[in-house]
Amino acid sequence: MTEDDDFDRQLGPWIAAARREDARLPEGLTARILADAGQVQAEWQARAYAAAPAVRVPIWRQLLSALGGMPVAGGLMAACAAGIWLGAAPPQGFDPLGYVVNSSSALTVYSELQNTILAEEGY
Amino acid sequence: MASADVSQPSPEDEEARLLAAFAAGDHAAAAVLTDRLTPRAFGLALRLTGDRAEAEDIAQEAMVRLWRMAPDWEPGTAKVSTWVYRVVTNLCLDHKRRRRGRDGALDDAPEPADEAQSAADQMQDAARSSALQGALDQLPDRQRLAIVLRHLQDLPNPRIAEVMEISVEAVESLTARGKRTLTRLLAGRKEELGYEDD
Repeated sequence: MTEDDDFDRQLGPWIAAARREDARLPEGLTARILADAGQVQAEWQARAYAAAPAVRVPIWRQLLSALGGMPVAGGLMAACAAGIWLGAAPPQGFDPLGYVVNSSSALTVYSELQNTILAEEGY
Repeated sequence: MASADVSQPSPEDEEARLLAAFAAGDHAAAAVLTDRLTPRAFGLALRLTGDRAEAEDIAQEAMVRLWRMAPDWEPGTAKVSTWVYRVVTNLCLDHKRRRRGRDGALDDAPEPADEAQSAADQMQDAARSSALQGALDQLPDRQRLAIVLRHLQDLPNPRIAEVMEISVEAVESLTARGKRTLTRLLAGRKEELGYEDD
């Protein structure tokens, strides 16, 4: 018989009683430890998010996005080009600046312009 | 075809793997580690402090420290449970220093009893456990730690040597002296505590 066996034989009831008491965990301890674990993981995630490099969006891309993206920007550019072309080389007999100044609305300008073009083409 | 690896990972390797999984965000790994390590941390703290409320706080604090160091854990450097035992031991020593000068140990309310035990058995358990605690409290710190790790936590001497950072021979010496003292202290209380009935 080893010294440990002898000790266990002599003090067995005390050791066994203490083991049973040790095995009774306080109520809620496991839940609190798991809650701590969740909180530590949440802190790591928050730190990782804060440490991630911010994505810098160029100003032109922000403007493009505000306008509605590439299709809208393309239409806008086409309209601007048409306006410049009409302003630089207006059809004969059409004074766009005069119409803009004298007309009450853009619709009137458009209507007059359409009539002028149709007349030039013999309609 | 390569032959399947039939070797099973040791519990210590499994604990290190679980800790790495926890560090990677796996909360289920925390649940398994909690189930494995909390009873050991609480049991050791209870026997070193003799105070259930303090042991509860110490076990929780040790586990929080484990969670926080998980990303820095280096596999192969130590066993996770050994690390927990060391932290619990240090926290208990801190507790003892803080308590030094105060009168007596606090007597804590017992936890909800195990329904499988009769009320008489529970009372006898409480009396015996209290008697053992009284005897343990009379041992020097290192003898008490060695006895608790050996006889209440069932650690082999080499593991105790790791936890206490001493040689196996020193562990054997500490436990031998501690056992002699405990046996002597409890010898006169066998009849009083119903030993003869067992």
